[in-house]
Amino acid sequence: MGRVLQIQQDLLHFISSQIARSEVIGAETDLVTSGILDSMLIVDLIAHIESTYPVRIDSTDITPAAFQNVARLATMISERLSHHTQAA
Amino acid sequence: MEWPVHSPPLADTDIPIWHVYYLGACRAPSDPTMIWGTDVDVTGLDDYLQDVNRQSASLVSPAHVLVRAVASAIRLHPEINRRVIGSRVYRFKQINVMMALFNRWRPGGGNVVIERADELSLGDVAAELWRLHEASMRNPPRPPASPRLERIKRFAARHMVPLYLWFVNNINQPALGEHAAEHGAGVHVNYIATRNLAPLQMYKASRFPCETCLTNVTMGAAEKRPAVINDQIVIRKIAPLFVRSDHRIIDASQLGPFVASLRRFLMEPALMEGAARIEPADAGADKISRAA
Repeated sequence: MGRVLQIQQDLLHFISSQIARSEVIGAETDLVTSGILDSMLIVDLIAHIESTYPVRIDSTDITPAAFQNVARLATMISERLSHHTQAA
Repeated sequence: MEWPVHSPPLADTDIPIWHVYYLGACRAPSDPTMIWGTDVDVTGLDDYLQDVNRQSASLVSPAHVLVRAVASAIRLHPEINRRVIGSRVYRFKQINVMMALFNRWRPGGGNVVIERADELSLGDVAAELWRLHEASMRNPPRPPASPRLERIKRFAARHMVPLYLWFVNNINQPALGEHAAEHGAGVHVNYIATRNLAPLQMYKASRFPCETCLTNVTMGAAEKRPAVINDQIVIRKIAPLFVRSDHRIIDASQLGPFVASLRRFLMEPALMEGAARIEPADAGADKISRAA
């Protein structure tokens, strides 16, 4: 659970640094319906995730469910990190 | 006697290669460009995207709707989907839409082509564009070669490109090679909604040296603005829309209805599903409402 929260904080920090200061987001903020995520931010976010964690986000992973909020994204990354650790 | 500029000119190696490409390709033109700028109320687009994303396997964004809307509008106005070869106008066989993909690794931008975009669902357009985005990310530009090789590349860009362009712009050729798709698109699309940019009031996309994509559609980020509806001032989300086309293939009297159709599709994207059933020969801006 601690790892998920840590990833959440990292993602929130990254997204906040990319958007207008007036927009406040939390782990449960709907990134899709709020319009916070645009195409370019999604690509930047994926690049950030792949450069920070040993996981790969494919185009087929870019679904409304996975990118709905930071909490879901963090859970997906954490699960992949677990698989990565087990495989190593 | 005083010359107003420094001499000699900048060395080719001191400027980016795509500037050398344009320098080699372009001469001051007599400009047949026409631009139609307008605003689009995209408040409904947000609601539509929420509905679509509840069911879609791929995350659908406004950029994907823009591509699909352009394809639907071309289907209604096929006179847009043409190119010039020599001094003759040719019709494209299918509706291909070229789109600029911007990312941090390709500062000059990169273009991808969505083939038969009018026949794809919105989800298919999104899946294809995400796949192309991923391919772009996985294949970042190669680092600069040796200074000697960079000089050779720039020499070729300046002196060989005009020859290449003479062939592709004057002789009707089959679509071959890795750039085949790029020569098969009549329309280029930009979605410039990057955060922290100045609001887009006017934008004219540059023309490509090859005589394809004679029409460009550029949409900017939506902003909350006051609008008058039923004599009441209300807050709506408004996006700028610019369409650049070419007087050699269409008139303003044709460009206007195309822009009107495109604008309507962006305001009410659900109409695209009906418009796809209209045969091009029966098409017109006034037909959209009947298709809905």
